[in-house]
Amino acid sequence: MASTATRARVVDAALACLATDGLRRTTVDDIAAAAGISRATLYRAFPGGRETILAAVVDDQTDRLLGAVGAASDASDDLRGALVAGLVAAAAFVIGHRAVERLMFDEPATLLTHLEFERFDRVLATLSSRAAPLLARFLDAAAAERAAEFATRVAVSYLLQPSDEVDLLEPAEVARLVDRFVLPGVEAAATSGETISTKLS
Amino acid sequence: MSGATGTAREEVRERILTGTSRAICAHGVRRTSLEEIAREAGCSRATVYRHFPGGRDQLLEALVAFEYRRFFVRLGRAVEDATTLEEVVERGLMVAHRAVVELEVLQIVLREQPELLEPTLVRTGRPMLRAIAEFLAPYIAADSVRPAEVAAYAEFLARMVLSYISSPGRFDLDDRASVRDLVRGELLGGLARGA
Repeated sequence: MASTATRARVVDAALACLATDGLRRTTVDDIAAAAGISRATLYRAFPGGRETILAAVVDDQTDRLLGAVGAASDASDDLRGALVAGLVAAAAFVIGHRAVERLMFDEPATLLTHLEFERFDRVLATLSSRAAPLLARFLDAAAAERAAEFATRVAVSYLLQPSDEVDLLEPAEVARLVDRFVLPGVEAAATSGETISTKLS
Repeated sequence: MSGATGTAREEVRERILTGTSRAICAHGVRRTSLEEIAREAGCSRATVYRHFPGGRDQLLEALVAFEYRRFFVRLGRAVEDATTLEEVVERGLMVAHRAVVELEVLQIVLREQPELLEPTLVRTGRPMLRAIAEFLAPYIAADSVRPAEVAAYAEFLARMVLSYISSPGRFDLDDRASVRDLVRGELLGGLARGA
């Protein structure tokens, strides 16, 4: 029986391999060696092999990204603060991410193709349904999902195509962006969709 | 043909690229050979090579750039007689979305080999944002935005418009009511408040 601990160890080892060797050069053997387990043990934990391990890494990193964004936005007591803190936390997670950095350097298309067209629709749906509860203190469910999707687009746009105007790691600059463009859009959307925010503002 | 004029050259190039597009639609990206392309374009393999010495890879990259230019021409035409910012953004979103969906060769490339698009998209990402922002700026200025804010708003709006064109997410860009909801909400909501 594969324990949760073994799976977690494999996922952590795989992430470390991705950060040092990149995606293409990371093999199942590398991951097993980095995890300090045999190939057989690894396959018992992940019968699907390399692809399922990589999928588990993506899931785990998504959890961690959402965890970081959640911790930051939960510390704010209004919608504006939650948006600012969430955007800054998301940027800090992505920009400091060694495996992402490595991937962008070695084979950017692998990552970028998930951030455009239909594939990005899927990413958006996942991220916004998971981020929406973070805004549920300030907006009703439908408006929170819309706001989460909008904020996800803002984060991805500014991370992929850095702006001269806004550095997403700078809370003061992000606050200006949120005040001028993001929050007014979110508030207008919440009212236009007849999903008026009823909770505190 | 050393005596060919620039226009004639352009014409052949365009015919080869259109042929490439047809060949991909008929056979898929991977199974499209230079022979197929030459046949679709109605010219010889040697002519294809003369125009695209880099072969298949160069052709595919040139095709992406070619379709991409045509896309912006179509978009520009669709919104040129709009008078308000709201109208420009609404119509632009709908036309651009249709263009993306209806461009069969793009859909095939996205399905089979999306990484082919990346070199062009990466290279043109910034100029494209700038072009859209410059296009939107006068409409924003005419819409009661403080002059000092126009450029910043235009940049933000260009980013978001591009994002929705490529991936509409929860919105249906074929449906005018849904588009209006998006435009009056997220996209221009800040303006409507007279910020």
